[in-house]
Amino acid sequence: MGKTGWLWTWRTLRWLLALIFAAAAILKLFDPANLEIADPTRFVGDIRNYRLVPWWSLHALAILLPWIELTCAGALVIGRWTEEATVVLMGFLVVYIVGISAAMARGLDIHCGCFGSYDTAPMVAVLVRDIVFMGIAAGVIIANRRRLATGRPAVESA
Amino acid sequence: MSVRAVVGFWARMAALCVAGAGLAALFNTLSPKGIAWVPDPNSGVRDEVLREAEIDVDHVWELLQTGQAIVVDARPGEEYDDGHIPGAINTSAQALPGSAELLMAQLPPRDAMMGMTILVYCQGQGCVDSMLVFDFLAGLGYRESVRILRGGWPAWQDANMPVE
Repeated sequence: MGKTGWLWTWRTLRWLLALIFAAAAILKLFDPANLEIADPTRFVGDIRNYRLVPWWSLHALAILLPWIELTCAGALVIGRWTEEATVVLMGFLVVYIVGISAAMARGLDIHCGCFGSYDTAPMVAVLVRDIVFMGIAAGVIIANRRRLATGRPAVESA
Repeated sequence: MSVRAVVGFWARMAALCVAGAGLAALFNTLSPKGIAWVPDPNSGVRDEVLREAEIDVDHVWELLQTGQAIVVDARPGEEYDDGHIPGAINTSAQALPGSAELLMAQLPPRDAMMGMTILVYCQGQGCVDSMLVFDFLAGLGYRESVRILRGGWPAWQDANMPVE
């Protein structure tokens, strides 16, 4: 694949990753059914169900996670610090994959809360979905490296 | 990759996280639904607190037989419609506080509970909906009267208890 091919692969994958995480963040922050700000205590409960983090950290995680996801999605959209944003999101995905796997191994049947409180996908589907997202994130980095390695770097416009 | 490039990469990742944290703090401060950064130690988010409030199916049955319990089904309305503990009031945790109108109309004042128990249950053991209703009722001053059905709705069904 030539420079242009890698450029468009990179653009497509990073916009796709941005769309996924922007949707995940917005659905945690806003309740689309009632067109209002979502109740953060529901996301607190979703994180609590994984039984992986201490109780005192639950509120802070529920406050911080959607906005860090949204900030990284924003960086991917505008095309600045894209690898850094992708690595942060990959870190989240690793935590989600470990958390879901651990919950499944312990026989817990819980809602992941990944796309807000209406995300009631079965846990196996969530695990597969997160692995696919991880593949897309890896694709962003690979396409970026290939794009830069094939001749003069293309213009990094969004 | 030089050390400088690695440090720069990590610094930019940290900057993204700090920027996100700043937006999060601002949103949480301005939002009418903002929450404390650290939960109340008496909140149901602590497993210990919910566990202390749990009672088993047999105990619930005794309370129902003697009329000493107000039963609250914290699941969504559709699940309640498919079957629930006889006499349970549906107070969907997902629609609080609006969904609590019927419950509030039937609850005695908190200083007149006279040994009554408010029994809350949802989809399973330690489920979020019971936790949310527990915290909602605790916030209204009923904390000492609220109990959670251990094992939730599946435990009730597994014990072949009556269903409405």
